[in-house]
Amino acid sequence: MEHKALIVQSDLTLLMDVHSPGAEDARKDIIPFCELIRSPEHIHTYRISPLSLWNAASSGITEQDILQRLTRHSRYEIPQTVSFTVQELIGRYGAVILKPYEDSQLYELTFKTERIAREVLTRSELKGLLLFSGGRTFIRRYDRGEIKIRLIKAGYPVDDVIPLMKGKHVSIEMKSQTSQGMPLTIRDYQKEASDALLGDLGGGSGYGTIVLPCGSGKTVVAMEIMRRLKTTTLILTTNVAAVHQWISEIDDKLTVSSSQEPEEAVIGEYTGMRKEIRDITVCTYQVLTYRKDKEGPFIHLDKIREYNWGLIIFDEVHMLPAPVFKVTSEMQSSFRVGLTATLVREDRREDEVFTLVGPKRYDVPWSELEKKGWIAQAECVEIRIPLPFDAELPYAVAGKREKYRIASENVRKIDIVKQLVANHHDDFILVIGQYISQLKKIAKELDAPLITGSTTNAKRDELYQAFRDGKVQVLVVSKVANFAIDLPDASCAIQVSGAFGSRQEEAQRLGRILRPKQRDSHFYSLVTRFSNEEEFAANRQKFLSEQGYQYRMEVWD
Amino acid sequence: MIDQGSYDVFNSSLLSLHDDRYFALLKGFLGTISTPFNKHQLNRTLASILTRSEHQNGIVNHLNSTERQLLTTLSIMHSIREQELLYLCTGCHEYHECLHGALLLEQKLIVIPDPALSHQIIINPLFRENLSGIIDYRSLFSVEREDALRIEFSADVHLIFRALVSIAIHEDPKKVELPAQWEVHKPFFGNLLMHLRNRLKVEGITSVTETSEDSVAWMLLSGGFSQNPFAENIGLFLSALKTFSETFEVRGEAGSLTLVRFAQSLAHLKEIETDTLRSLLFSLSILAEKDTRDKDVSGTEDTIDSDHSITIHRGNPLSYTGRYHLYSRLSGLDTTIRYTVDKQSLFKAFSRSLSPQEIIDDMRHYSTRVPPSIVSLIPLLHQEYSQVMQIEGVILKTDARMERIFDAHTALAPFIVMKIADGIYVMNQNQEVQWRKVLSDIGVQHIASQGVLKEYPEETRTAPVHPLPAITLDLPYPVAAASMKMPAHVTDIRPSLYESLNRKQFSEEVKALLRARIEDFIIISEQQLHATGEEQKILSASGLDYMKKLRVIRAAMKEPTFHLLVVIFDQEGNTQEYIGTPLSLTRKDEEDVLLMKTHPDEKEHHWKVKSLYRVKTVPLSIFFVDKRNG
Repeated sequence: MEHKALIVQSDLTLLMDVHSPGAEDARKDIIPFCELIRSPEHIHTYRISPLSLWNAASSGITEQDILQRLTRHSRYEIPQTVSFTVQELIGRYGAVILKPYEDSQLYELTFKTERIAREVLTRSELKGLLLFSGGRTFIRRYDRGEIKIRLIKAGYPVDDVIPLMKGKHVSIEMKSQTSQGMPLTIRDYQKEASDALLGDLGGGSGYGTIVLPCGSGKTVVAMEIMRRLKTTTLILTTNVAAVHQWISEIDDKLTVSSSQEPEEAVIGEYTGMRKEIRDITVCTYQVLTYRKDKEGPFIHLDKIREYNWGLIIFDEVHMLPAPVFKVTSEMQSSFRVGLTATLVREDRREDEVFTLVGPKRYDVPWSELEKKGWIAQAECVEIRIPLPFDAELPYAVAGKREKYRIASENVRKIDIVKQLVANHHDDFILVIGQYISQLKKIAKELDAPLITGSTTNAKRDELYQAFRDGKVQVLVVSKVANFAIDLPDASCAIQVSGAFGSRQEEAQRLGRILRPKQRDSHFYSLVTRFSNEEEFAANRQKFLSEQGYQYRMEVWD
Repeated sequence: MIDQGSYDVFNSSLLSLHDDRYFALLKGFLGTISTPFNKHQLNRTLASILTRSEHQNGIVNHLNSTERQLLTTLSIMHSIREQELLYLCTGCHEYHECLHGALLLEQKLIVIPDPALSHQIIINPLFRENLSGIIDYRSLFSVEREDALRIEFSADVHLIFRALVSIAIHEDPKKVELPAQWEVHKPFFGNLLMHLRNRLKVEGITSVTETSEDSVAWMLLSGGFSQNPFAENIGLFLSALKTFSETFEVRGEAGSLTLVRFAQSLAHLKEIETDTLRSLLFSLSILAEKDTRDKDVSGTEDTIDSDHSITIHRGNPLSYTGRYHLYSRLSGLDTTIRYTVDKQSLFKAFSRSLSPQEIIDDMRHYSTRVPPSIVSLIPLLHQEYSQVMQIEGVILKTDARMERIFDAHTALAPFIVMKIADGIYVMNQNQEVQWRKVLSDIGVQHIASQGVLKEYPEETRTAPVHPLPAITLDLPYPVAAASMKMPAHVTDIRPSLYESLNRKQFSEEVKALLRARIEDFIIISEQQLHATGEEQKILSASGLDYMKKLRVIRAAMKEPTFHLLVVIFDQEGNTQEYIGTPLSLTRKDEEDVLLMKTHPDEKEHHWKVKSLYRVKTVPLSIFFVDKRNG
């Protein structure tokens, strides 16, 4: 007997048996109204949340649609509480509507019923945001994001029917082949992701977050969205190397022109090094949030927001710095795309990020793309190494943080790294670590170049390029290479130490070797045995194990 | 031809009635009874009227749904007090409907007093054969829509036992967070967990593999109620619950409520409110809905996933024998039951003498998908667990790495009394707290106690088997007889009776009374149209007639065979009906105030008489003087 794929639980989680023949159909049907929470090897967990339901409602999905889809794929009877909660929550959507107003500096708030108006207007958290005139309620234009956040927290999702504004027209087309002569086609999931975000370009669409694994081509999804919108675009990313990478990718894959400007004058770099604002501008979060002193103005942010952006792309959106929230809040009238592989934020501000940038519109389990060959298959191995005898006692008597440092810098890891490098003589290898002194020793032992925070941007670009060109086979890197660095041929990563239990860091580091290539990738995590590094390692691996990756344990004495 | 046995019961029943009641009853059927009379002869005459096919068909065909349900209930219980009958039927019908239905059945003599048991009623055996078409057990237990799921007894109780034992083993009793479904029964589950923890400590009970589901259900329910005086009735209750659920097709919420109510009645376990008890039984999976759409769950395999979560599917028999609860902690209890394996949970399992291989074998027993990562992790964790073991008293055994640290660590040296062999240390007995602290500081958070449970051999670590007390149901009608065997065409006899009544020279008051009896199918032949003149009058008052309302209330208080029905308006302007026993009528602050105990909730209410929209006396029984108490 074949079982249906979905198990609907009364706590609004949906368990999906990925081995069921109907799993793929079920996933497509439910993803518009729920979020993927974890996707280990066999049973994926999705969750229906108020936010996910309201986002679904904003794209026109009704409670009947949701219940029908659940019924179609559910293995067992749907618990009554689920039907009830879905109806109750969806019913709230549209109770508060945000509309345009003749005075372009204001928007009008309207309410479905008198009772809702009374409930909303008396809420203390909205004080200072609401303006009243002639029995009507208004907000200032720049409070659009803020009011949405506060109302959603209060349980009133705002139906924002103000159409998004397209910026100035920019001609953007996708090239048919890359500069290296490789044919350029959009993969199915990349198209699905851009479709999911743009929808019909009507109310409730055109903004959101796309979650795709590292190496799966999030940049291409963003470029496809740029192509379809053909408008002024601001791209925000994490560091200068990533800025350069974006510009190089755009050069490689897009034909961009403007009626007034030659192509090279259409793409601008706004970093510590160059300050160009063009129709397509790539900028770091860091420069955007720069100010001379704690109380001073955000100099660059003010300059940038004066430009009429039709589209803003937030690369690695989980890294969005808190001050950028404000500018995002003000730029609610632009199309917005958030890109990320890991939704984990240490400050727990995911909800705010997704309210401002936009809800999760597309998410696909890593293992799914691995199976289809869109990202490399990666073997994860945790190698446990004992401390040398002379470090056992110092470790035993040390404090907790010191213990972690001793374990992380276990000198015996160096021999293991050398051994692994020798074993993988055909691979392009990244040795990644947290502690500079440890990385310096390893770089010296391996006679390999080292990139850290103190390496100049020019030097970093040079080394990354040498690695890409195959001139450097082993690169030792600190956390500066955790994000947004594309090293397509890297096929082996050796993690010698990390930032305590950071799940996001672990996933991003694995992501460095996931570009599809002719060979499988190998991810080694070196952990000191009988130390607290084991516990931190277990925590670090949680995100990936929830994505279906398995760590094989080996003990190397 | 009247069956002699049936007649004898009928005759004895009537003879047991008080004379007043007896003659009032007989007059209703036979008209004036002239002296001298012979009760046996009168009873014989009445029996011959009642057994006439046109009479029986006329009555039986016009029984309403409440009457049919009362009779169905009575056919299961055989002999019962009327109050109990009303209690059993009130789930499906309003109390006052049941009260009225029971009175109608008395007046039609379909139910009669049980000659053997005082104040109890039985189905009149003279009607027994003719009732076979209207006794519909399904209507009692499957009143909801056709596709409502069937309720089963103790379907997954083994799984719940495991979930509870997992909490008892792995969670801190002071910080334990119960699954949401159990939170509403916090005191019960708190008590049950305490009970299980004690049993874990004393008996080492961790497994009920060989134990029947009945016994597990009994252990759980009585464990939660162990502090209550009625706990000894739990076995009988569960037995009744099981018997009923296996005999009848119980479906939906209303069906399960009826089921619980019947079992409570049989087990004399009415201290717990039925709704609460029902919810508890579902929480414990002693009752569970069986999903008929996909009943075959045998192909649904339990899963140990790469994130070290375990998903147990209800209804999978392989899960009933697993020991996952010993090495994983409960993380979710819903449509599926989910656990998580982590270092702490594995350490707890090791401390219960489970070896790494036993754990891996157990995982492979119920799942073919055991992730290699967990298989490689478990032995590594066991090595960490065993790095320092307490082998006896204050004698510690360490592995080689720990031995080096023990020998070199100056902070530990003062507490080591003697090193008796490689890696074997005698520690200072009086300073255990201090050396444990030093060990904790160096990263040994847990000192394994070797053989802590060895005193309990595996076979004794199962729950003792207690078979439930036996209950058998003696059903006079087939369970499957669900369809009504009513005549294809039934003529409404009432118009012709109304015409005959109109021709009679009775007072209007008597005519109104007889008209009501025709309406209720108590009178179904011209022979019964007598002006008895001795009927108890039903009084009622409504609206602004304040003085009459007072008279009605006083009449109800005076007459023990009356209840009082009051109608009031609630805050939203809807009428609410209450039925009960009027206890007092007092005057306070220039207002007449009625104190009434309402049925069946037995709550006392004070109402100002002026706030009562309507009051009405409601007769209780034609057989018993006061069935409320008798």
